[in-house]
Amino acid sequence: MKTQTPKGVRDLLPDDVDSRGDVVSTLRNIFKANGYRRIITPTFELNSVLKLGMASRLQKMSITFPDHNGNLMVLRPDMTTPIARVVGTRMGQQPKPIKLFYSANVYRQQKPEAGRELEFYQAGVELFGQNGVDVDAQIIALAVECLKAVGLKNFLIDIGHMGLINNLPPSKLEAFEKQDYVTLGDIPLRGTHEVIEKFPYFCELYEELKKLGVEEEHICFNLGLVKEIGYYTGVVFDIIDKGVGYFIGSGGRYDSLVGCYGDDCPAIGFAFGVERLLLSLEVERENRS
Amino acid sequence: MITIAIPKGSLFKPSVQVLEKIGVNFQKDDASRKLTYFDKDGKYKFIIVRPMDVPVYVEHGAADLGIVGKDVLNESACSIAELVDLKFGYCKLAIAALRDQNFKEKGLLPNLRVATKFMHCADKYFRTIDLKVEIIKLYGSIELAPIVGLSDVIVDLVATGQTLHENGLEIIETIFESTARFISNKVSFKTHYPQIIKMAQGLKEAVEQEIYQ
Repeated sequence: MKTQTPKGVRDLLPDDVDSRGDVVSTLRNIFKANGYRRIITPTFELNSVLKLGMASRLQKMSITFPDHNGNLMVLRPDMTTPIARVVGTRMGQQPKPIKLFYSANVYRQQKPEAGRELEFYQAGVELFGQNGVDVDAQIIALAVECLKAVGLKNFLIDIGHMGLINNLPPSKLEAFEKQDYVTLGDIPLRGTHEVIEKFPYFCELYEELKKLGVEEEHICFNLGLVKEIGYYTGVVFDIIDKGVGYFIGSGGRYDSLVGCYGDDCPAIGFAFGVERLLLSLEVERENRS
Repeated sequence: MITIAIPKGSLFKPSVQVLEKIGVNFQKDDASRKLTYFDKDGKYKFIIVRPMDVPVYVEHGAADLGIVGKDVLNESACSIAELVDLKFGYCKLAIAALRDQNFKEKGLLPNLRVATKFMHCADKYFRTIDLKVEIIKLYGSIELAPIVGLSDVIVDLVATGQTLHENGLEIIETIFESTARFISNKVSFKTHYPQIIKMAQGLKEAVEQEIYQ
């Protein structure tokens, strides 16, 4: 008799649950202490509804299935889209800002990578109804606070902006996103002081981050960073750790996503891949001992 | 330490030479069957792998950097950062058929049988031109397929065209041209940025000097 779980999902035994639980509860406590309240949305939704706000890349990765009436359902490929749907349809009249956090499984059909299977666990925040560079800085500072609290040392927030590609011709856009710098013709600049002077927004963000006490060693500005998931409109960032070859989280501003479901509303957030966070912690611990 | 994946086979020698030009010295003991080496300063680790495996090691971060042909990158569809065109290892991926089949005049028709090692590239290309074909995966001696009637055309790498010519085949269309690329893991590119950017600039200069000499 064959008794394996399908590809892309796995059992978590009590020890696994404990180690994940510690990290997740640390994150939740920080989110709460910063005024965020937890939101839970359904694991699957009507595809026709959720896809209104889903970028084509997310649509391609999402897992759909018909229910017993033949309606197409979709397993949520991220948490940002369903939460934007809730805010757009049910929370539009509430006083702003609306501060929400989540920790939940999401589902993507993709090549399995370290710490990222078909089902994986995300924890993150979304902030609705406020924009401005000071708000962007607050969100990045919150991500830094989380990473420190779970015990990571060698992490880096790599910061880019969707505005950097506004003037790129479509032929170069794909090369830019794929990091094909041979086709692009140049390797975009990355660093701190030499980069921020080239893009005024970075200058302001740098000052705001400094005010919030974010150390320079944890941030880096990148003229070549844009995100492939299509809903981002402003600042975007990848959270990386020197120990592992994958991003452990990412985030950014998405000011037109809520408008797909209701009244437009500025928004920004980030998510950690919890499995990857755990992998990074493990690698850092090994390297220290 | 930075780990560099070097491809076995025809790209091995030029890869080692171009790295030497930027002061990255690779010392391989010819008799040895070892698969990993270090430079004498212990700054770099080299792993020697099959060309098709280079982007896999780099994508997963098992190697930070690698040298590999654009053909392999296109076929593997791995997510890596492509930094420098090293200009050596030129070849092209082309559709070829027996000369006496006259495909050049009659053009490519639906329901062709296509033999290839490059499943992904072939599939992508025929979708792009909206031609329905049947693709047969082979692992080598692709030129044989039309000769023995296994397929109508082949999609294969062509360097000089000598093998095609000797087997009575001709190129119908070129899908893309390829040269060796210096690639990086996307996260390593950020975590080792100063070092990698210096290497990339060095390689770019070394390649340009080579060309204009």
